[in-house]
Amino acid sequence: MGILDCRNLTKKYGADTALDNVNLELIPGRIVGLLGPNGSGKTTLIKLCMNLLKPTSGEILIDGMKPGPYTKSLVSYLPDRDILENWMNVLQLLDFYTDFYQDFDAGRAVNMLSSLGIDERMPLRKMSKGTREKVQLIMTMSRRAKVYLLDEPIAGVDPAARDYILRTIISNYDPEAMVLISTHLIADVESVLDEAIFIRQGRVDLFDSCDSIRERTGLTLDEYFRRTYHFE
Amino acid sequence: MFGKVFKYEMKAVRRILLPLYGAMILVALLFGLTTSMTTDFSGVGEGLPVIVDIAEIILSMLFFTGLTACGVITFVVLIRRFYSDFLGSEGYLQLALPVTTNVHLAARTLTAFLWTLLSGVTALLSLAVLVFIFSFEIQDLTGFFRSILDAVRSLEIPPLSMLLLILSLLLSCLSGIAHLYASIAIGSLWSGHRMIGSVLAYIGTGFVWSTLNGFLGAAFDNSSDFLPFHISGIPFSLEYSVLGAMIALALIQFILYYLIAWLILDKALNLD
Repeated sequence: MGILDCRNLTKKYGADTALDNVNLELIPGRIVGLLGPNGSGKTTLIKLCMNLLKPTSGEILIDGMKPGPYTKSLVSYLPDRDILENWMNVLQLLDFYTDFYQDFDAGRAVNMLSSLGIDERMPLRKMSKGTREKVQLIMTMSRRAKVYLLDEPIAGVDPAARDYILRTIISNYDPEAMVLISTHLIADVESVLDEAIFIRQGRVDLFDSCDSIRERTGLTLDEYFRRTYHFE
Repeated sequence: MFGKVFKYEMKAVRRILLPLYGAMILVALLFGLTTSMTTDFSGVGEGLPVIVDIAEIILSMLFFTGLTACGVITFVVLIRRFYSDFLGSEGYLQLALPVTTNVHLAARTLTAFLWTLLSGVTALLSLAVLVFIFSFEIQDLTGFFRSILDAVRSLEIPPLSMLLLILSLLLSCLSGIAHLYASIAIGSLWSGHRMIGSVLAYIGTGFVWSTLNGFLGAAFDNSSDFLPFHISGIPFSLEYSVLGAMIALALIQFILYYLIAWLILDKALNLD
């Protein structure tokens, strides 16, 4: 059994099928790319893992348990949107994470914040969009979690920020943890991935190690993606 | 975890509501002072500049609109907070916490209950400040509050009835909050039109409950106005049973709405 298992997982929105009978077994110690075009079901899969959506059928197990308070204590989640509470400043946010997550390493967060020159007393509402994204990422990666679910962590940020984000992920995740990075910007993340899941219209097209995909196809992941998912 | 969720909910709301309540009491104080000067009970206010009259008019408007605004803003802030915590972007932070739905819901219900009570206390305190300033024959606060207690005693309501009445009012307040939360939860099922869905759910569930109340009232007293609105006209022998029934109904209503909210948010919530 993996740290994250999907069994015959299906999610429908009315008549639309967002995920169709997905079966996956992700094991610890890997950085896995969840790759696919916009609207392919990447965010839906991650939200199902966080119990923010309920499956239509099938199930998800994290560390052998259905999503709930226990699994949420194991999973560090970075959503694809701004979720910070405007009334807080960074210090209050640090307290918030410390209060709720036993695995939160406040020292690590403070170091990262200071390396970016982010004032801890600054109210979050006064921060730029880019700074808020960085704060969100720092909070997520400062947990010593068993599973990291990162939904589009590099979408909408400049190339320099992308480098920073990827460096932060690589240098802060626990080697025993599983990191799932959802993105359609494959070229940017390819170098850090161990495995890749290609997803299209809610179905898993391919799930394999990156080395194996490159060896079999003679293509980089980005080239494979462009060739496979190009519009006619 | 309950204490932690409760702590952050109180913090999130207090930055808006506490200054509002403070401002309301300050307006009451200033309104009382300017009015007592211009009404000139003691002759001190003779020859006051026009600006005091203008200030009195403005403060009177602020006071009376403020009384309403305190209630309305409390109501809006609490609903908005609940809605965004469960259905808005904040939901991605709140619902990712290792906390059960029951704890989320219970902490928010208690928070809303306390702030609703505090808004009521603020309104009463504002009125008390005003009355205190006007009542020149009352020389100190102790005397003022004693006179209020005397006024309540003069109504000759038995202590047990008073206790039951207060309990039923508190439970009605709680069930009102649970009604709002259940309506938002029901509205969340209507993806794409959640706000309208919540309003319709509020009206619909309110109608169903009122109808049910009517039937229960008719069964109890063979009259449609069984519920609390005519207590003074009810014979004493009935009073305890009526108050008891009010409490029971408010409790049932609270439990039902709370269960609806919990079931939907726990089993069927899909965050957009």
